[in-house]
Amino acid sequence: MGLVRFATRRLLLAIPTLFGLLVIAFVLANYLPGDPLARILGDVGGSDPVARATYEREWGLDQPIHERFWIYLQHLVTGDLGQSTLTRRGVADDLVEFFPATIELALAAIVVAGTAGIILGSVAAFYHNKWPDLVVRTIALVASGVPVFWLGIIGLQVFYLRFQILPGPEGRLGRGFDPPTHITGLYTFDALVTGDFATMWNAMSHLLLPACVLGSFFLGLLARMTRASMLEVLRAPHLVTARSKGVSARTLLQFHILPNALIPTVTVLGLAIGGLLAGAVLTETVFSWPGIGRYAVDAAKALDYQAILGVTVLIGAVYVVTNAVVDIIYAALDPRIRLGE
Amino acid sequence: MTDIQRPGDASDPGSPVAVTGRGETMSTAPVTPTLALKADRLEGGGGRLAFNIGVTIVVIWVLVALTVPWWTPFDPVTDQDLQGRLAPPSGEHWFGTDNLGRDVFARVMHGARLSLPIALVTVAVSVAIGCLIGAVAGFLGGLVDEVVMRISDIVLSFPAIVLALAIAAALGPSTTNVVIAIAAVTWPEYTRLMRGQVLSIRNNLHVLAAQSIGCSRARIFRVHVLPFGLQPILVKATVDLGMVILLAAGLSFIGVGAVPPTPEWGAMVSEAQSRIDSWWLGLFPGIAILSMVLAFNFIGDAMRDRFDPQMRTQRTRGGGATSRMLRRTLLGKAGERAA
Repeated sequence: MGLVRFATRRLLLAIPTLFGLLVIAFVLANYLPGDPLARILGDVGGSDPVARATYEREWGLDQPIHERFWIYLQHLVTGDLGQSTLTRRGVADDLVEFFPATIELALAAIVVAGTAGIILGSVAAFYHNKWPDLVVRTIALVASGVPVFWLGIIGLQVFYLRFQILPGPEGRLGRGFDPPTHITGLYTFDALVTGDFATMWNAMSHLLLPACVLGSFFLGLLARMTRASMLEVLRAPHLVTARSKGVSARTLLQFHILPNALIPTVTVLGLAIGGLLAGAVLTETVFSWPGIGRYAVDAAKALDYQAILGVTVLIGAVYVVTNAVVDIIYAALDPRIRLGE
Repeated sequence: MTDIQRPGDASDPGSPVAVTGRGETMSTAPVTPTLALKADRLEGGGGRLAFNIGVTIVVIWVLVALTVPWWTPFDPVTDQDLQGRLAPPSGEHWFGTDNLGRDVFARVMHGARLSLPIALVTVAVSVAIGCLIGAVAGFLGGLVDEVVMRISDIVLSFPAIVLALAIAAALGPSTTNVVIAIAAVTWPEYTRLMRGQVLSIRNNLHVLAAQSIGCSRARIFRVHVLPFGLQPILVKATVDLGMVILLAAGLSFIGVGAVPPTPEWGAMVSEAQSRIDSWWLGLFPGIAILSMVLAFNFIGDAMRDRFDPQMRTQRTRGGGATSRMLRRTLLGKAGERAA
């Protein structure tokens, strides 16, 4: 089947999944214990029958669960995700404010882990069974089992407390720095575009350690994948042919090795998005990073049910959509995938 | 589903002839496990070594978990000494003392009594639920199958920790609820695996034979289908033990898992977060988690290599000349020396 048809089909398949995700998150959030009204309306409003009745009517809290779901859907379509009891603001506003921080962190983690992982994996393959291979395999192995939250604390102890070359867990910017003019919400990018290099430098120094910690698992995975597929490609018959024709090492790498070896890496990249969002929950907690991961944790601990619902749906939706997009990219790169369907 | 029986697969009922899902007969070369083992030994025993290291670490932790109350001089919860709080490692307190003057060594050792059972019970629950649903879905097919697969798709479309976080928060912080939360997000993986197994076994010769002598559907399912699908499940369950330990520690670290006085490794690292200058508070429980996760990864990888020939780690040689050329031209003298 053609690529366009494959892409359409894949995206359409994501819709029922997204809906199901919403249902599960909604049901779950509805069974959170406690009196949500008292927390939403605060100490004064919680005991005021008029305020309670108004709110109950708006969100249909006196209705059966399927009615409430329908009302929630209607609000959702208009971009209203309800009130957070924790921040006392709209959940949608919170998500809009906190999501860019997570995106910035995840992108930085992908850049760090992607670059290092592919280089390490390639080096390991070139030195198959020699000591650089052993070193890379050990790094990959440890990275696959290390708890990110622990790695974050160790990283802070080494680079912040001991050597004092990186800032502590104080969020995205140090004291005395104001966020740059809002363009994308990614501080490093916004500061660069507006020419505020001091802020950019500060934002980058705050970003470095969390990004390395968050990317650690992905780095190990990527190094292993690259090594394995590189070894496979290095043995391929077409390489012998190319070499016997006298192709230069550079051309060999650029046209014969890398394109073939990096295809599996794209799949890992897709899996990484989900992994990074999950890892962000823990990493952001360690570094006081004001992203949706930390928001999810705070909301869960405070039993802030509309916030939990909103953030769960957002993360799930990002995950589903990225998976669909990665499948499509994969199909574009490797015709066997879409032909096999 | 896998239509074609792989040689040496244990789900192969021992016959060199297997009937594939589409009904054609194809011959599969019988490869005995001993031959595979020999090949493994010949081509470098890396897998075997890793397996042995993994088993050793797990056995040590199991022994620690079983015997720790008899040989640590301190109680992990009640032995508090506020005068000697936050003391660095010493001869008396090998891993130092924490915020309340409790012995960190005793707490880390007692942590094994929590993490191991949590991981085992969680995986057991997840496997039991997942396999049963998957086997029934695969065996019955039709609408049941469709519904089950869609539900498992949806659960798998959440990052595990996010859904587990919401569930654990809803249930309240406790170790039991950690088990429930993690099992609730991991069962679909087993469901899919088991369903695939059942679909491929369902059309095997021995099942057709059982049908032809008039076995009931329930008996065929119980005796002729279910046992043959379990082996890959066991391999996956072993790999997952490490993942579950990480997840459970993560939940406790966040504060929706084991509650503070409990000596749980994730919760201990969480306490270390607010006393970051006392490095011994977080270092040791973290190493404990890491050792346990790596041990299960080692064992799981070795089992997968052993039981699933398709996943077997590449050990064939080749490509050496190309690698040498690349090393020489791209990295120059330094590259040659490193080799």
